[in-house]
Amino acid sequence: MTWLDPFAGLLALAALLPPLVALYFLKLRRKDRTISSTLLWRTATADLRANTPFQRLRFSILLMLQLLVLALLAFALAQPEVSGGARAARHALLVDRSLSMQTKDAGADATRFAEAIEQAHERVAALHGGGFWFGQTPAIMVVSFASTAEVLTGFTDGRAQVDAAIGAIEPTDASTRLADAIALVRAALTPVNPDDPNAAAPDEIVIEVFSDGRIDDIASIALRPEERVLFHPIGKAATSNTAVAAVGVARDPKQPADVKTLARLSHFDTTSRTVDVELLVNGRVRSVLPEPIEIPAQSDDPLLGILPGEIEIAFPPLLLPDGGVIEVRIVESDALKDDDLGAVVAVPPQPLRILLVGGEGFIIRSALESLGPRELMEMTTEEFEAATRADPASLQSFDVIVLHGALPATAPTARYLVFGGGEGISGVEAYGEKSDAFAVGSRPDHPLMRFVSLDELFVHSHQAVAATERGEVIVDGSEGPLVLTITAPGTQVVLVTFDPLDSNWPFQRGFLNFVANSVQWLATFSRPVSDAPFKPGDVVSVMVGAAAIPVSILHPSGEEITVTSGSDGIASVGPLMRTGVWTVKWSGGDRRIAVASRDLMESRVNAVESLEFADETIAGRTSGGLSRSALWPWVLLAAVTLLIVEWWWYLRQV
Amino acid sequence: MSNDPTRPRKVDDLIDSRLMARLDTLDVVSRKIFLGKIQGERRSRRRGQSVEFADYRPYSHGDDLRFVDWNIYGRLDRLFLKLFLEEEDLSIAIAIDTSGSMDTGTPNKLDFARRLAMALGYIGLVNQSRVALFGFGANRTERLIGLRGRRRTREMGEWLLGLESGGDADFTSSMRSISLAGQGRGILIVLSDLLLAEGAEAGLRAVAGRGFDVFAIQLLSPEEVDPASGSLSGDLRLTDVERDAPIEVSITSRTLDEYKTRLNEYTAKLRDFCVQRGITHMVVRTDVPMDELVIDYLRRRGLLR
Repeated sequence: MTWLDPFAGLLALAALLPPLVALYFLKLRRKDRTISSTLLWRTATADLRANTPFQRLRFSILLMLQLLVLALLAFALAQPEVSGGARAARHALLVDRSLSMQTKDAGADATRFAEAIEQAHERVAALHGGGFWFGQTPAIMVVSFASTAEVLTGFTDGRAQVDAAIGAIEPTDASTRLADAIALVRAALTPVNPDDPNAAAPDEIVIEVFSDGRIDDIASIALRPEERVLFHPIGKAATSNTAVAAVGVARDPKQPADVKTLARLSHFDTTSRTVDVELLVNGRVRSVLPEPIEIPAQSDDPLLGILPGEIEIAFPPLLLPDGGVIEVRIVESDALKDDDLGAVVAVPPQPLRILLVGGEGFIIRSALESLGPRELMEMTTEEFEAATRADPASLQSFDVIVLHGALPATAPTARYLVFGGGEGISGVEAYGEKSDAFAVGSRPDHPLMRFVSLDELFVHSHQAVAATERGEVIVDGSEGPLVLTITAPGTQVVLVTFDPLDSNWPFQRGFLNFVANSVQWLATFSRPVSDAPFKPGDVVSVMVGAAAIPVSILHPSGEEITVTSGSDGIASVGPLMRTGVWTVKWSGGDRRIAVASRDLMESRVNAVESLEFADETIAGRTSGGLSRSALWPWVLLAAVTLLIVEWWWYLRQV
Repeated sequence: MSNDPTRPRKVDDLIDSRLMARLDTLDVVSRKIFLGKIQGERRSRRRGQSVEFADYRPYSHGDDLRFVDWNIYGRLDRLFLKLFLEEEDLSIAIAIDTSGSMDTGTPNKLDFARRLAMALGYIGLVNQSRVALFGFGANRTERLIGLRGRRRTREMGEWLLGLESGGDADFTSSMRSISLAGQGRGILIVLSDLLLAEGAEAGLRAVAGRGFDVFAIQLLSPEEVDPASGSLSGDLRLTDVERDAPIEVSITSRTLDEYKTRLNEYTAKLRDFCVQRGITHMVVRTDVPMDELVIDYLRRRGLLR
């Protein structure tokens, strides 16, 4: 129970209780009656001290009733509410809107997100249920968080503004990160001049988290002394879920029109589950697995914790010469529907157009020829430099430009695979040469490194480079980066800092795979539709080819919005917060974008009961509930009723 | 007398013909044998011309030969005179408390006393007893004496109606005054609430010592017996109708219980006193029907037969 105005109740008691009791100490105002004889009354009563101003306090039902009325009035003045914690001056309401919050627990009428919104509204009502005399309305800030955090409203004492901010929170299918939200709250609390030693210490703030507790980065967050966290757990711990963890498509190089679909299903529960899975192409069911798929139960790894039960399935190849949207869907619905469907956009088979610049050796040419490109054009370095000046647009028509040597400064925006040259590339800084290097680390999850082993790689000499913020090291060597990717507006570069001929790499199978991966990966940036699914929260740049033209974006739910392309002919779409297939349309064409959740943590939907921060564990508020109802009107009603009873009793006596 | 329509205004209001007819068959009983002034319907200690044999004595000169027992003379050859209990009249005195405390209650205690006195007096008149009425109140004692015979009924009733109430009764002085009135020994019926601060013992002792066969009838109104029934509740300042000093009382169940205990103690003490002195003490509620009281209750208590 919460007392909004405890001082009002105590003040009323202190002010009214003594006079009331004193009145009963004082002589009563009695009614005169004449009787035949007072002889017996004189001996029968002890109430004969006619000349004393005070009488002994005797038990009186009237006094009891009046004391009870007074106590109820004081109780009402204190404005009790059930229940909730004490209020601070500032409250930050952090509402989880991630994918797991779309879960609808067994027996629940709404999703966790809807319940979180409702609880947040109730919490605001509780915090704003201020008293008449001593009530203080705290300043409330509303932040939603998923993969990113967003401030809906800064600290304000306007209830309507806070309610509107809460109502404006949209659900997403993104993963959950709380650190950004905490950082936003802290930023709002930071004094204007944080270096001012005389600045007042930050006030206590109550950070109220409305979440199912499935937060990826919770263990990396350390709370500050002035921060007090209230965790409002939402959802049930016993909820299980099955998800389409990944969907991929592959074309047979020999039968480019055939598309083979692969999917991985994950299951979080202590028992296995059998599901039916179907394949849809452009919204129509094209294939159903003949037998139900049994997904094993989750496992508890002593080091990695809970691991989902997983199974990979493959659908028979489909004839899909024109591409399309391929969706894999679990037929039986479960608590979380949004991850029961995985989608990917298959693009029409397009033979590659590759430009090889300065390729003196046959090794790189042979590797490129093995990819079966529609066109493999060769130029010398001089011809390439001349072309960059004369007709750069003609160079952009190639899917990939492979350079054996340095990248000219005048190179147009395009996709480059560069061997042995780091100088002149924006994104890296070359500072000399290194020799006798070998690979010490790589990014095995990167598309470039698929089926690429570097265990036996030895590089005789390579260019020493350092990656800037645009560069990302893919393979790190003993003397410096060996493979990097550089991203610049309109340009994607895969940089190999050594000449293959200065290494033993061409004699290894991984070299051919690396070249193929690089060309394929770079080619995805040149194609109008990518077959790589995006994850929720991604922003997609779509090359529409013209500046300032309207671009229509169709939401998976059917909602449509229109944006305008930039001066560079690119329309930015997103962030795409919901999974499914988004469609981008413009006057010159269209593009479909598949967005799928890749965060298995979000598919593990059994809610947690406490938040385990780096230095503190916050238990969920389980008692009293979030909703705080004002009790004082009812108490006041009881007091009035009791007053009527007291009056009736008084009349009955008099 | 107030304008209350329920209060008696004429003799018929005190006793109606139906009650009178029923009272004709009753007579007042005395446990003592008194010396009457004239020959009446009572036996007397004085032996004389009566039908009830008492004793013998030797004949002396001048005796009435009609009372000689000739059978004794035939057996003993001596003259003995038969002695009979002479039947004399009975003196019935009815003392009515007219103090202020009697003019209270519902039904009114003084009115009840008037009706009861009327009924008892009527019985006495019918039975040729000498009836005397006393009304004692504040510093005065009114009296009506020498009544005998049915024809004095109206006179008695009008005297009763004319009794004035008020003041603080000096019970002891009044009883002494009545005992010294010299109306002859007989039955004294005292009609009073007997709620006296100084106690009723001294007054009753005064009349009992004079040889009266005393009947102390204590009249209590229903609210005096059970204050809760008389809307006596709440926090009150009670004023005695005969006293100035009020007392403050909060009526609670505990207070009521205490009052009833005190009342029982008071009446029990008074009853014990009366028993020790041969006084008949009765407590009569004023809501008891008069015919039921006279014909049933007082007969059972031995005042009437």
